[in-house]
Amino acid sequence: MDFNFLFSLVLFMLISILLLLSLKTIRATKWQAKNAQENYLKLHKKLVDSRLMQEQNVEKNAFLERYNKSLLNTLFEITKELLLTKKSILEEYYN
Amino acid sequence: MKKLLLIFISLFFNLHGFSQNPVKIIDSLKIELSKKPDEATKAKIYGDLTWYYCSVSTDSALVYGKKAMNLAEKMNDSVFLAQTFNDYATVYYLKGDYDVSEDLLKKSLKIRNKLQDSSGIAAVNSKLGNIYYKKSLLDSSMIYFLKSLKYYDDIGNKVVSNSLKSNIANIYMTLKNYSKAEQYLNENITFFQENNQLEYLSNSFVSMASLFLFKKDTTNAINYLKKGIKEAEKVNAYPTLGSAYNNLGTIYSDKKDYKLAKQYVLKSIEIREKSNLGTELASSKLTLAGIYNNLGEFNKAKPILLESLNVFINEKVVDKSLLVYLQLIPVYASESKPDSVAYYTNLYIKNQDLVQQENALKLSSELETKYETEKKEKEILLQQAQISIKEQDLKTKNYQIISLIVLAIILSLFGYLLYNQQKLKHNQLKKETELKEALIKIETQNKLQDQRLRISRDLHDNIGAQLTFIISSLDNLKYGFKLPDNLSEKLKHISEFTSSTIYELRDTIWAMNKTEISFEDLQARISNFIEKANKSSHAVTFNFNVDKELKNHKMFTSVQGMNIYRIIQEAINNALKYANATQIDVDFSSKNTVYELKITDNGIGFDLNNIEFGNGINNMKKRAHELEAEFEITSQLNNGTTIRVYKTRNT
Repeated sequence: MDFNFLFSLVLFMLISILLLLSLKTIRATKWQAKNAQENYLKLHKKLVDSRLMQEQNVEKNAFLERYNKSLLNTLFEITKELLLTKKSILEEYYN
Repeated sequence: MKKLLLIFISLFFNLHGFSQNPVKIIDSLKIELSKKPDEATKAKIYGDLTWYYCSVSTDSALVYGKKAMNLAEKMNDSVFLAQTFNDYATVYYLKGDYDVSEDLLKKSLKIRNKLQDSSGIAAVNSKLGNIYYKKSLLDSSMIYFLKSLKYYDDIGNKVVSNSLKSNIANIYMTLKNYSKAEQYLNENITFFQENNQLEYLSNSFVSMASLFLFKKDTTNAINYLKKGIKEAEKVNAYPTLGSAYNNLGTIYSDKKDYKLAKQYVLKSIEIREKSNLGTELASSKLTLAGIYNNLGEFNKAKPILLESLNVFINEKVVDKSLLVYLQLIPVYASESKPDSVAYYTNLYIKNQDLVQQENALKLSSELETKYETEKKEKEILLQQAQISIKEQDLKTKNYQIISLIVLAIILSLFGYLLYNQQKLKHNQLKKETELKEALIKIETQNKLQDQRLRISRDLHDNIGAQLTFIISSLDNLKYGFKLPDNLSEKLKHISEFTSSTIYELRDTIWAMNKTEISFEDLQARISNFIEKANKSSHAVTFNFNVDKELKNHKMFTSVQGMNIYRIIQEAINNALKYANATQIDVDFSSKNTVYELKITDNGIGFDLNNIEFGNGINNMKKRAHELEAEFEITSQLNNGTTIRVYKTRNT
């Protein structure tokens, strides 16, 4: 076979294969970018939700901290009143 | 042949279009010349004078041609020099010096080839065709005409192209290919008639007449000559008229109608004298001399013949000179001058031999040229084949180089695409990892917070159970033992305080168990509270109104919901406890950019200036502050109380 012909054939085949591979790569890159964007959006949404939940939890915990302090005071008040009543009852019965 | 030559002269002029009144133009050009113009204008005027003098005086044309040529050489202007060679060649052509004319035209052609002036080359080719025709080199003549024809066909100049076809038809006529000649001439006549090109049309008619003359059809020849004369007279085409009348004269002379023949030839002489065409005029005079000879008027023929002979000898027109010698023989015979008869007979024979020898030489040289040409053509073909192989090889190599370049480009593109893909992948992975890390961190914190919430909830459940146990124990103590009134009252107070703590705890647990609190949740909870409150006091009408838009779109966080609930609860509590209200309205609205919560009662109200706010109002203010909202209370004695909590949107 003529060398020139063979050389041209090989060149043509190489060009064709590389072109096909290039097209395939372009498609794969596009698909990958699309997929990554979707994943990113999902993760971002999840992150936003988690942050919201975190904010709410922080808010709840801060609220509960304040409330617990006030509850503790109330419980102390009740305990104090109960002890004073107990003292009064005991005084009533044993004096 | 004689007739054809005459036609050619007219065609030669017609191809380049002489003006209708050259004398006037010459005069105006001379006036321009007297104004001492610059060299370029002067050269142009000399050129124009050469051209226009062609139809008036060939000698003057030669003088101005020489001047134009010298000036062109001095100016070193190639374009103008080519034109002057061309004009100068025309003058020599008209004088019948075809060798000089050919030489000048070849010089012009050389310059125009260098300048790649296609239109100029075509014009020179056409003139060379005429010269070769004159020199009876029909092959060369045909080649040059065809070259010129190709150019005019390509640019679509149908007038000149048809005029050239007329010349080609004349060659066919000479070659005795009458059908081909007739075909060309008919095409010409049709075209020139359609396009009203009268000058060319008259020429074509004269050519057609010549064709019929060759075919010995004198009737048609006369018809076409008359048609030609008719058209030529319309446009004053003197060269055509001159040759047409001369041809008519010749035909009638052959028909022995010498009177009519003489009449036409005299007309031809008159026209040619006007045109000042020496050789052509001499030809007409030769025809006239022939008529005189035929009429036996030898004394009239002799001076005319001698005059013509001078012209033909000067202009080196050998074939015409031969005819003159032949005509002079009977003239001198009539004068009984045997020496002169013998002299002209010898001259005739000698010159005829010379002409034949010349023709033979021309023929052999033509054959040799043909042989050389063929040989060279073969060599050229061989070289062309080798060149084409090399070109093919070069083409293949170029193609391969281009393919390699394309391959390199595509390879680079592919590399770039792969790099781009990997880069994108890396960036996406990095982003994703960052997001995931942030998410894990937040989720861990959320879990921790959840755990704290769960612990709080468990603690609250436990405390709730213990508080319930305390209430139950207090009730048992109150009813199981007989206690003094003050102690019973104290126990009741403790029990109520504990109950309110339990309710508060339950409300807190309710709010903390929810992620979001809707208006429905709030309404249900507040209704539940009012129901309980109603049990301990008089009946109250309670209205809870929410704007449609708000109802559909607004939700509160558990802490916000808790604060709002507490504000409403406190307001209702105050309305029931201190204002004896029978109607309480809770309205949530959204006006322009403001969210508003309004609690209105129809209780006894109070004077804002004479009252000190207790813990309840202060707590409400505090909670409103936590909601980042404004708090406003308005009241009038016996006119109820209104509490407004409002905030602007997006804050």
